[in-house]
Amino acid sequence: PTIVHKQGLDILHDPWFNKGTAFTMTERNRLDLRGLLPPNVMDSEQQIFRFMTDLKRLEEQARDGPSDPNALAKWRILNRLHDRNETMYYKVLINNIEEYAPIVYTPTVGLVCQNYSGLFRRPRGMYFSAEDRGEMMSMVYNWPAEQVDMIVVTDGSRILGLGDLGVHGIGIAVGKLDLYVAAAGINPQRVLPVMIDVGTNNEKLRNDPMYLGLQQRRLEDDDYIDVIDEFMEAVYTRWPHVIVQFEDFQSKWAFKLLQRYRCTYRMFNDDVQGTAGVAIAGLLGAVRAQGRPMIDFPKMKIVVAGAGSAGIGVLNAARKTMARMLGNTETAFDSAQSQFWVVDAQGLITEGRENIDPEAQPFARKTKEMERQGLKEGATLVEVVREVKPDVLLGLSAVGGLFSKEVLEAMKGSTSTRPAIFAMSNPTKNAECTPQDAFSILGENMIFASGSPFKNVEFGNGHVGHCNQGNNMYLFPGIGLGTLLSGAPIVSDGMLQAASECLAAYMSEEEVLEGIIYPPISRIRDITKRIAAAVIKEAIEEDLVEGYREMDAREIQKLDEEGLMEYVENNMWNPEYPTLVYKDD
Amino acid sequence: CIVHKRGADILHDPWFNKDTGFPLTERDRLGIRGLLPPRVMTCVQQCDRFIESFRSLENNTKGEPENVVALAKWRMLNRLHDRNETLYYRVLIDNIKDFAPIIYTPTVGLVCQNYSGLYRRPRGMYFSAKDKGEMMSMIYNWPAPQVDMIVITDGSRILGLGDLGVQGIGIPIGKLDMYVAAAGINPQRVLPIMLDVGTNNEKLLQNDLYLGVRQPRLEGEEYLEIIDEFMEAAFTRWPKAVVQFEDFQAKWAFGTLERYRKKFCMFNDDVQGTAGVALAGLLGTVRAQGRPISDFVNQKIVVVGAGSAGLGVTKMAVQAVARMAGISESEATKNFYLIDKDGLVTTERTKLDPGAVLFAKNPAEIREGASIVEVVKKVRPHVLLGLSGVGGIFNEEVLKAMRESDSCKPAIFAMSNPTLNAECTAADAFKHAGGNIVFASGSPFENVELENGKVGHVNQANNMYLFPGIGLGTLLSGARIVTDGMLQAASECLASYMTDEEVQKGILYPSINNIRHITAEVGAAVLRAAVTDDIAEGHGDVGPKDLSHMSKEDTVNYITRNMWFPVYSPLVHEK
Repeated sequence: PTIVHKQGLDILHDPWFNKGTAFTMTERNRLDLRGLLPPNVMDSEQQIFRFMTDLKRLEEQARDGPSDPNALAKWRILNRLHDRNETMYYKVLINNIEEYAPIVYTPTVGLVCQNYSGLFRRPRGMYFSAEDRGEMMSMVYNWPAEQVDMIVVTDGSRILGLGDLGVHGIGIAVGKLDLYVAAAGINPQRVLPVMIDVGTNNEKLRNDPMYLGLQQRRLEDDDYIDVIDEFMEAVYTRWPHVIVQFEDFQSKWAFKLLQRYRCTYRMFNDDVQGTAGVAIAGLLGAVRAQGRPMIDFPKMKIVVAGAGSAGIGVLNAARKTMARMLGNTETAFDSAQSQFWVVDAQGLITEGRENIDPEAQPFARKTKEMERQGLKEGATLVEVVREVKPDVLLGLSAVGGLFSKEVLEAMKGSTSTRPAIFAMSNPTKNAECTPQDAFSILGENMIFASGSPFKNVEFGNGHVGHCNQGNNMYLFPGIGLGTLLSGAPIVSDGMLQAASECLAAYMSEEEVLEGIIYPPISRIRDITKRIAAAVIKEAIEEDLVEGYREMDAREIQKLDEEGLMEYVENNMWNPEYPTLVYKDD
Repeated sequence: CIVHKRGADILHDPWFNKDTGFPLTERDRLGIRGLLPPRVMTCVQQCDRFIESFRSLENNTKGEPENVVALAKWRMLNRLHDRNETLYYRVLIDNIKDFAPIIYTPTVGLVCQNYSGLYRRPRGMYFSAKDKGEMMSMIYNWPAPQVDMIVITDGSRILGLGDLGVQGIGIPIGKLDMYVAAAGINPQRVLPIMLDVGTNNEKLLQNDLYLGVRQPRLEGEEYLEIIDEFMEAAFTRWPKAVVQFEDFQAKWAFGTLERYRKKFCMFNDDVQGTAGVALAGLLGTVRAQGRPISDFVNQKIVVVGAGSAGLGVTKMAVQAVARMAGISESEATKNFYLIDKDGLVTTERTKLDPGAVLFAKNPAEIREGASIVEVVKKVRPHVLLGLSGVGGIFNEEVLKAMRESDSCKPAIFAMSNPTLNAECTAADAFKHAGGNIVFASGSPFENVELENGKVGHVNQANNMYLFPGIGLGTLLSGARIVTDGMLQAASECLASYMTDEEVQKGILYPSINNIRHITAEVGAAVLRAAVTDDIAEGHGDVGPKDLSHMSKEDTVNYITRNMWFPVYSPLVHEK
């Protein structure tokens, strides 16, 4: 049973404990609820049936006219259920994960953040603002949960591809944690979305009388770091074992904060590390799709479009993965580095680039080498593709349609038997190309992946061109859960790589050769379980295991493959109503 | 305002939640700092934000079926109510004309019919047949230490929609919204009650998702035992509460009224409230003829409908005539002609409802069972009053017959709810009975443009004009019971509210926009009547002597000062 320290109407008002009409008669008597609910006691199946029936009917009727996408109507309806009865909300979400994951997270969550001013009804999570400096250590105790396992934090500075949305970006942290609960089985009472409101540089928002955040410019430099430092200190003081995941920080802060905290706290940045991990898994899958073993990955030639935090994150992770496969020697790193050509808004990055971004420096091509290939500093994407003939064209540029017809035509010259086009940018309109474009120019014999959802492409001959959505959702739940259950004090590169390799190996040989490099979302809980186990295993090998609650380090270290899987499964929360017992404080 | 909770529990409680309106000091004091977006909004900004959403919904649902739009609006308001009650009532009061038809008649009927799908959060309390023997302890589950106003239904006759069982809870909820908005009863001191004794609605009984007790309705002594137990429990915990009965089927409406009216502070709005508003309208028609209200004793009235509403109105009108003329009630019935589904009620009628006996006519005057048109032609009544629940029963023939009325301004009152049950439409009435009529209805209709360029006014006889004032006046007088004198004082107050000029134009009832002022006046009239009847016991610090010494003006001021208005009260935590 679950102990609650409230009775009567306060229980009905609390979505953590409310069961609505499903409270049994004995429970109603015990909790002073009798008379506060209609007398017919429903089971959760009846509740869900009633909700789903109403939801389907409302999806059309609840739209605010033709201009309101159906997706927002669905989001609003689900959000209201979340506000009333969290157990049932997650049951509905898990049972319909394929349909509703795109509603609670990408791509609908972008629309939610853009329209947050009008959509806001109840607060969820916590808001730490620049005006709260000096107070955060006490504020953190305002959160009612004794234990918090997972925090997702954003400063709203770069929400998806939508730019600075200020405090409205909280929707990202909320949506992300919904998926942690649904996919990883993190207990929803132990998750905490956080918005750090340091102001906004979005002038339109600052001037909006309905804007819900601080109407001032964003803090910079040391002022900014002071705020984040104080926040991190506060949450780790109250919850020493919590995992903090950073999300949608602008590039410069994404990298700086990752470097600042990664060896001190149990944290990771999903835009940098998670996005990279999913992309790596896709790249490894592309190797398998060519009928080669994953160990051949270091031989792949990859052109990367985009040098923002996501692009650099993928590059670093891919380089490390290749180096590890080649034996982790200095020669291995040099060799790995030479497999990448990075193109940003100014074209190909070479050593000749003025004011080169320090993060991109390691990937700058040598000028002489490029001269031999007929490429100069700032060469265009199409020129690079023509000369390099890459195995993979990887887009992380946030520039919709960047992979033009000309670029795709150039990919026909790839030396690979089965080239890969990865148009990874979100949201949908920012994707570098559509699968229709890619398959129509390159034909059936290619691998397509994207960051946003697209439909598979039907060929005339009955064959299907598979669209592989490289959703971070494949990895971050397993990374979070595995880190949690291992008790590792940091999230190491090895743990992240183990997660990617596990995902890449998940598909059967047959599926991969068909061009399917990511599994269906409907299997997300099984995927997460395996990835979590792989993460724990790696933590064991790196001697990072410190244990989780009753499971100490030695117990975990003794577990074999099967034992690990069982350990993970037993710790995944399921949305069932617990019996509630009242206890006075 | 002392609260015994802090943190997220305050944000979850619509009674105390202010959303983004919590000032910074309060956020710190209550442990909610960080649980809200940092911007502090004013109440006006919050209202503007809600209205913006509401207008957006209105604009974007143009062309959709009317029912769909009305329910969408109701849902939006209901969600606000569930989040932040203070803001909800502020929005409601500021936009009462637009929102009254959403939270109460006519949309509330749709709400009850669709309740199974609309239900999200419970509101109020449910006492079911299965709770027999437990009600005295259950009543303490309600968190408010003081309750001033209870509205109770057994769901047996919701508006004109019949037996809706537990789904009828929407009626007490909507009614109490009006008590809060119009009378300024503190929303923390109101309590909607559903008395679930089962339902005879076969369709609901078969519905797997029906939220109430799935058994046929209790009858006879078993039924009375349940009501008795509830009344005992409610008045034990809250001895000074006012209990209003709503939408009970006819036999129990009268049965419970007679059983409790001298023992508890209660009234039945379907019987007494509906009658009161109709009486005010009838008195208004006398003024519309350019005559004083006292001339009511000479008005000839044909009443169509002998259900609880019809009998209630007629009985109250007869009592008014008796009091004005100083004659007995049986003598006062001379000018009233009661018609039910079998035609004119005469002494030849067998199986006559006891309440209707008083009105039975001598068949020598007009034949037993005479039709409406026959009676109208013979009597040439000043008023044709419809409370039948039969849509369109005032057909063209009947309306044309009213042209022969003895009144220079005949009155057509089509009082049945909901709209589709109205005895005729306003347009038909003015078209067939003539532009010189006075029209009133129970449901809303648009005013009618007449051929001569004038406007045919529609007077919606919403109970809303009286019940808030009756409740508030009764509460603040501390009356032990609700007397006929108090109810009649309310009606006369309403009938006198309009200016002579307005009345001559055919406007019998004031604009809903003035509802709070109307209620203060009606409340004062009720309070003064309670003093006159010597049953006022005072309220709070104001005793019966203080009340008896108040002038009418003092009374209105006293009432006004005690009307709750939605402003955010500073909250202080106490363990």
